[in-house]
Amino acid sequence: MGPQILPANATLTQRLASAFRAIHWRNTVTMTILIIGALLMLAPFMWTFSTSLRPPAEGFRLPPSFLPTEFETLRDGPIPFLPMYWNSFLVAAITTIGVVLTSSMAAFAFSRLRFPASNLLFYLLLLGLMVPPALVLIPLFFVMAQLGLMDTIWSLVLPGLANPLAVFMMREFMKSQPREYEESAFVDGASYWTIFWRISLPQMGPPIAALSIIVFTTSWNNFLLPLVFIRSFESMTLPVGILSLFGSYGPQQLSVILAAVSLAVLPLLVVFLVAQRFIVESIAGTGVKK
Amino acid sequence: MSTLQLENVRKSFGKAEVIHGVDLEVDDGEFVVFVGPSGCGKSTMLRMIAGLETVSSGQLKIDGRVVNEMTPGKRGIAMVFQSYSLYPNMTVRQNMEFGLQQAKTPKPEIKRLVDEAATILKLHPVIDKRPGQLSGGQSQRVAIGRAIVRDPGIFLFDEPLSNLDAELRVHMRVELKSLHQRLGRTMIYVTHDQVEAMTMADRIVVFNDGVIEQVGTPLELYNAPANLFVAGFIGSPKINLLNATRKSGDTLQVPGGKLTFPQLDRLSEAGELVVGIRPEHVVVADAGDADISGKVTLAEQLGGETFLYVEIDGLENAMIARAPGQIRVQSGETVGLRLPSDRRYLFDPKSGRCLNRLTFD
Repeated sequence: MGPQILPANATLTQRLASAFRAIHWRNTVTMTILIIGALLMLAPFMWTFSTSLRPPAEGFRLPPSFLPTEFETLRDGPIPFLPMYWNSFLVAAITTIGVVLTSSMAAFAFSRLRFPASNLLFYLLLLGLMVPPALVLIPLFFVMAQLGLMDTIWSLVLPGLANPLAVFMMREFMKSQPREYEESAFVDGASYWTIFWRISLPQMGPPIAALSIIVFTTSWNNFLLPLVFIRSFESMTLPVGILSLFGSYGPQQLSVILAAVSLAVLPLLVVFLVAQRFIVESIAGTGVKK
Repeated sequence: MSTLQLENVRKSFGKAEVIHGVDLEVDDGEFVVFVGPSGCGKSTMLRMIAGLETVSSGQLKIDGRVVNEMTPGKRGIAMVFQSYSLYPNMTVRQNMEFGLQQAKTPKPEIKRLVDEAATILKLHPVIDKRPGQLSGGQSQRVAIGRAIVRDPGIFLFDEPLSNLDAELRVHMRVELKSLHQRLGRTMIYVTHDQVEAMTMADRIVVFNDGVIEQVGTPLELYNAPANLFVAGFIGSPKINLLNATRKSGDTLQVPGGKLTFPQLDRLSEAGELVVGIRPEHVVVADAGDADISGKVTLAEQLGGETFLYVEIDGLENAMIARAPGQIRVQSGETVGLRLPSDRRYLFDPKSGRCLNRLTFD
């Protein structure tokens, strides 16, 4: 039933009754059920998060407290947690930006440029997907040692920049872009670089967002490379750092370690939320009439 | 201001040749329309002129210079695509600025040119909007604006109105024609719609299967089609074609009756011929005065005119006759049709060539 038009002299009761009728009850019921479901899903995580920030003895205290108390322990402890946090962020951010740039450029070349053996090269690149990272660890170790990059964050960044999965993903999206944009830009006198940078790449919001989430998460969680290439706390990243925390504090101070784990998850949530916003924004509008 | 010459231009995709040696000259300031059915090669030809397809052989000249190897941006052309092809990540203003930025035009000049084009095309209300927020007509105007600002020698249009609704198409047709008169630039326009071709062109180039069938003004093509294809393509509704068999003297046997063709022997000696007559030249007549007769299967009454679809024995498609708007004819009724001798075309069915030439005064 649609909203009623009330006379100017309607009483308060009449106005309230009209407003009450205007509420879409079916939507309200759906929303209520969804909110309850969301809270049920969120509650255990909140509890875990809360527990991780309190002494073990208070782990099962009711009602639970959500105020962190173990930050200071973490900050002032023997392990430089915050610099590790920063290192992890640097490695993940540089790798993400680098992978987005290199893979989108490679994808543009593979999807748009005509050059000899382009398909063969692409399939060779895809073969890289079949090689387990552990298999190239020793060669990589020697390369990094030769380059003098051992125990620096660059030994974690550089191996991640050539990412076959990212190239494959970006190529598929670029292939779906209408060729008319490119042709129109050609007629306008644009170079391949201009077409890539000003026309093709800005339309890649959703795949870039998705790729960023994947690469950032993978890089942030990377354990193997830092374990092999990094020795000093100054260059260490979180996954190996948290392992060191365990060695320092032991199971008696599990809450400190869980505090670190909880904090380690936060940037991933932020990245996801930010990227999700871009995905929605990027879907808006297209210049080619379908 | 630019001229265009095509000299024996050919295009092949792999082993398949799709353009079989096209020769054409387009004068400065001319509005030339490439028309033809889907797959006839008209869009490929336009894309070769734009530089978006390579020329397999032959020469393509703009202002007398061979441009076969020249990149699109340096040919002094602008193109409006069927799909508008507006950059979705840019506003209307940025879309129009893009080409000028590539030409390293100074910023104040860019602003002036874009504002000028926006004024001509009434784009100021949407200048800061993105393509996704525009209607079809607005998008098309932006695409045209993007072409105008670059002040090209030749404008290329690839079926620019085919995505618009009928009313807007008529409106944009008028706008484009007046734009041509205002700018005085050479324009090459591709369409499969012969009404668009007839109403807009200074000259029409009829393409079929990778070759040019005929080049001429709209009336030349209408009055003197070179062959069956052109006769069938130009004119709406389509020309009526009747298979004819030569009888004695100047008489031809056609489905539903006999026709006398003055000086038939001088035109052809073939036994089998094709007679063509446009619907607007067929006259509904009394039985005594009619050349052929048949049963009306459909009467389309449009007020100002009526199209009668008449089934003739032995004729595959119904014959179409344009009758007065207020004529009272019912489906199923038998009518007589007169085919005036001075309005009949005669075609050779083997070569398709038109054998006679009519005069329309």
